[in-house]
Amino acid sequence: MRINGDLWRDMILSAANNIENNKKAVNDLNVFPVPDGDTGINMSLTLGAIKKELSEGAGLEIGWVAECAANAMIRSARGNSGVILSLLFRGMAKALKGCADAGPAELSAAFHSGVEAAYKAVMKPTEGTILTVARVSAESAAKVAETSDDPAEFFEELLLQARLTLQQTPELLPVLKQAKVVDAGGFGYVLVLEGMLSALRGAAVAAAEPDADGESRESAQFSDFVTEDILYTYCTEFIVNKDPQTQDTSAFTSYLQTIGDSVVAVDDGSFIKVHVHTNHPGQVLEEALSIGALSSIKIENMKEQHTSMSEGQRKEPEKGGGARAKPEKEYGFVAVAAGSGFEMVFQDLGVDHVVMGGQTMNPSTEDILEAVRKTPAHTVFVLPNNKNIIMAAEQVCELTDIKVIVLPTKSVPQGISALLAFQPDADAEQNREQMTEAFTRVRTGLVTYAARNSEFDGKSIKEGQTLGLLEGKLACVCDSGDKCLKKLFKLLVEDMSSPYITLFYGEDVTEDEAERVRDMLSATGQYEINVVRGGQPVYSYILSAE
Amino acid sequence: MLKVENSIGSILVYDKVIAQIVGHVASDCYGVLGMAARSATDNFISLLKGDDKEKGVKIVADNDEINIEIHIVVIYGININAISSSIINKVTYCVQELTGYRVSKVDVFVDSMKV
Repeated sequence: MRINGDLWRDMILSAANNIENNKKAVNDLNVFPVPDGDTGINMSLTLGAIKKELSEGAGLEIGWVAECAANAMIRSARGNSGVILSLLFRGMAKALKGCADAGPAELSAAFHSGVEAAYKAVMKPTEGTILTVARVSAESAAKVAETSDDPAEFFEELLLQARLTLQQTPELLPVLKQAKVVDAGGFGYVLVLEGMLSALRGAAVAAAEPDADGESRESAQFSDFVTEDILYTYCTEFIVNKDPQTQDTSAFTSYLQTIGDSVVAVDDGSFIKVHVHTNHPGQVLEEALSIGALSSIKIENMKEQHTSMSEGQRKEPEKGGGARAKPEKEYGFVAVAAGSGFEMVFQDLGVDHVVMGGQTMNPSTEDILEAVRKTPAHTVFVLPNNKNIIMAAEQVCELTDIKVIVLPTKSVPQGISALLAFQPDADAEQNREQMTEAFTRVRTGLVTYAARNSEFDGKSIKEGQTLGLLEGKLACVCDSGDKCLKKLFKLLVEDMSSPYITLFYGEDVTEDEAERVRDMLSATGQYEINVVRGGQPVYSYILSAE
Repeated sequence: MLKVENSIGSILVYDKVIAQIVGHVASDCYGVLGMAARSATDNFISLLKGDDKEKGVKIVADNDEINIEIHIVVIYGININAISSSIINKVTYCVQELTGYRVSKVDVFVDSMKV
């Protein structure tokens, strides 16, 4: 038996349907580089393109069909696996060129040429992917082609070897082993071969009906639609517990046909499960009430779903777990701070969530995102309060559709000043300007101790010495804490006329000690100093002046 | 050059290092037949050093953000659009993962094609 153009076309179409029907399973395997899970969609779109090209026809040559298919696939190739698939078929088309029909020998040459073409396009082929699956299976099947003249036998061997190789992929690619999955592209290739073999045996895989039972298939198919193609917006599902006296439900099911599509109404005697796509879910529910009580109602906007699906494909899935809090007010605040005292200060100032973190433990973007999502406001201001956290905070803006404004505050006192400048009546942009202006006026001094001997900014530092940092830069190194405080304080208030000074003391400082430092510092000039418990780790004192 | 300072010191990452990462990642991508020399000097360097990891990569990094240019060679019969977008995705992901800096832009230049 030999394969002619008509059969080859049916085989490719069957392959396209098979992968289309199973693309969710393929998506679920995807692990690299980010789990964006679109290998199945990519492969299905790549193969799906041939449906338009290869319409009905008879007496076609296999060479012509193969070329048509290859051209269509190259144009519509998406993602790595899609590109590789298109090259495999292009290689096949090259080998089959001019042939009217093909037997195992020609097929073997075609698959060999396909694999060659796919390998040629890459400098360093990654083994353990669709490439390996295609190569090993083609090599193995070539032996069968030498002895047999039945194409079905050739394809059986091809499929068998492809499946075996697929099982080996985790051994070849560590990333797959870690995720405990086989390669998604390779799995897709096995599905393609499965589809082709089924068609060869006369049982071509048909496209799944959109209203067939099985939600997974259906949800996957949304991605193929263009939003405009969605005629009926709401996917409506519910169960009707039939009234005992209601026997005939045909009137209801025929009503459903008139108001939407993709109608499924499964009558189970005592209840009916209904699924319909419609623009008037309310009317459907009303009608259903006439035959019984409703339960498990689910209505979804498919246009929205579709848009978010197609946009979301490339994006990393939004992390942060919990659902977004419902916006109750115009503005909300998220601040990053370390120390119980600061947490209370910020809460008193109206911050919705304080993310714990600071110099020694930077919170992740995810931590901040989580806090932003929990904040019930339309616009959320984020105060990173540390130079090293500003970047993490800024990334939050990209990961959520909530309006997030990051004020690049580099210290906790800056964050506090920014909050004090906030005006609830002004719009977001005005507030951003005012708050930014307020916090840039603040000068911050930090007092800490050296953890080990080192050299910094040309100054040698010995373990145990006290360090004074002004605006993030090392200002003085002293043996005694008091001397350092005085020096730093002098630098801090330099050139400032009547500054407003606040002293935040850390977790290892007592209140009495802080009072003593206050008196000592205010004695150096006529200064009024506020003492506040910050409870922060690492820095024994934080001084701010504005 | 990328620079981060904290209270105990600074971290400096030279453009060259990022270029090496990008070169490595990009040459691993499917569809990349090779990196294309972006200038005569580049060609000269790769002649001298043999396998040059930075070949065909240009990095402009400042303000904690990275702009990347990649010059590649592809084979005839490949969907350039598709492979370029997967290169952009992979390079962005890997560089952000390895360096922690945001990649603001990746441009892929197809300089040459093998038929």
